[in-house]
Amino acid sequence: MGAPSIPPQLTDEELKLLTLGYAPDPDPGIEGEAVLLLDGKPLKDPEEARPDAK
Amino acid sequence: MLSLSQPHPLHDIVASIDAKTPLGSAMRTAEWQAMPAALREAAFFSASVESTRWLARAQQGISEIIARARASNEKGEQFWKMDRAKLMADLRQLGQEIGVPRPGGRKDDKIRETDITDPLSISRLRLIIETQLETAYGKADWLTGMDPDILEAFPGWELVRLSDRMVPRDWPARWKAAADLINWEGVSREAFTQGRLIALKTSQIWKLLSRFGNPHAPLDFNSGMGMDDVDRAECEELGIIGPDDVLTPNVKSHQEEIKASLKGFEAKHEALLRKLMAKRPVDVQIQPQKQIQVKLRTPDLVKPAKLPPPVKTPPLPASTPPSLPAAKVARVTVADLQKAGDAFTQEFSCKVQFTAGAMGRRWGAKMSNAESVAHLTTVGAEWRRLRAAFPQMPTRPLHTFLCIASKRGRAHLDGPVAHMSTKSASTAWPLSSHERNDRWEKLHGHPWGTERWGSQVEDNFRHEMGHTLSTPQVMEEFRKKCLRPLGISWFRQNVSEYAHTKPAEALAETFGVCTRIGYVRGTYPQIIEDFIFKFLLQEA
Repeated sequence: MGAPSIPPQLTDEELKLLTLGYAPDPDPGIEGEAVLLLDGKPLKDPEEARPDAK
Repeated sequence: MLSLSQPHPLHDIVASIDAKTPLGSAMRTAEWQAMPAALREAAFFSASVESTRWLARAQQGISEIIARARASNEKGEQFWKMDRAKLMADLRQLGQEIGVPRPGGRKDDKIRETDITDPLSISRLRLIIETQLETAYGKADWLTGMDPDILEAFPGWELVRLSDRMVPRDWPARWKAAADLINWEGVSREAFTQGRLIALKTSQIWKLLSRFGNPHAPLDFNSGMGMDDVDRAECEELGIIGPDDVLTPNVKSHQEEIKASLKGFEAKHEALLRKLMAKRPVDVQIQPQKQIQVKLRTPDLVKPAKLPPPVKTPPLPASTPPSLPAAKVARVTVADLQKAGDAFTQEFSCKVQFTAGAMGRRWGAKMSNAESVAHLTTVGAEWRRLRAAFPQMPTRPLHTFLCIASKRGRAHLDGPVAHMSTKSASTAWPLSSHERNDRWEKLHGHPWGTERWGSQVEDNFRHEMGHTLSTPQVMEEFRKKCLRPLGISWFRQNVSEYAHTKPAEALAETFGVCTRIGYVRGTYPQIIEDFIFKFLLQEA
């Protein structure tokens, strides 16, 4: 799976704080995925949050 | 004698591109072709594009790509100053800023990405950049091939298909028409009867075949065709050269022909050119047998009120290739789709599925027949390129290729029945997403991901191929040889932000970069290159 997209409408200040982390999937046997972190805290990307886009 | 200490012809090509004058004009391709070769050689142009500022930017970008120009960020880290994707993005941004006129004088701002006549569409930008780069590399190959020692050992070229096209041109028919014009001089009839297109490098057929009137590749826009060297023994066997024959390189004669093309370019042609440039801020000075000078008078105009009136195409000069009917784009039927899938299966030894089926929607969505065939063509071309560049790479890494539109691409890591889906033209990010990445990358000084605008499907495919090749043994070797010595933060700084999220992504992202067109060996540490090229791709 390639890198996720950066959500729109983030300011330069927010972009400075935006990084990627890794979240293991709670279901055994399923790969975890990269998560967007804003200042170290998970940021929900609306596009990635769609049920069909895991 | 061949001197290896002499500068490579590409250096001369860069110099010749830099020396061209960006010449904005409303002329269409056929009208440009009717202009003297000397003018086309001296000018950097694109059909129907009038903005000299936009053309100058394109010219500079092409020159930087070929010269492999480098730049440094604030931390002093070096990176390639320009690549195809960045140049496409730059040209679109500049085109929107200065208002490059849209096809047919359209007023809306919507860009039709598949409209080849829209100077800002991906299709057109890609065509411009690819054609310019192919021309530069083709000319360098031709100049190298004209070295007397190389010409002696490899006097012939074979016209071959390098990549598939949905609607290929009929090259055998063009070949025969051109060969008839020159009485098959230097062209092998015997090879033609065997279905091969072989001629001496010095034959006039190459110029006749070329839409651009050049004796080298590319022979036409986006043709997918190229030339392979044919050695002396085979040329002698085909009877196009005798054992004692010595060919004379045709570089000089080509240059003389270019100069001579100005002889017939007199007042009426000059008047025509001035008329075409009527709304443009340029002075055109044409002196037969001397250099053409095109001087900019004022900064670029913004959106001229009216395009110059259409002009009748002047008679084509004798050296122009015979006019052949344009290919018709056929509707893509289920049978076409099946045929394309079967061809993919045969070539790459993997099954093809056009729906996610039991894999589930997370692997991607079904596409139309036309989109599916186009997607197989894009992925197939990239896979074929990888195989050509790395002939020892595993031949059957994949069980099933899911020809569907995946949002980010998916691949089994060591799947017992390995499946893969990739981004498609419809799920590739819009330009605005890439612009956000650019902003992020400037702020952080390293890439967000390794997928770039204009080549995102190919980049995503290589990334997923990196996953497909990542068996547990490969991952263990990667951890031992690369991750532990370098640390995951090295991958964040030197490959991408995404690469540091987990070891499998570090491997896939690094694989994607190392196998990208234009990657220069020595850019990454030896341990990385040894792992990717020798261990994973099994280079000797």
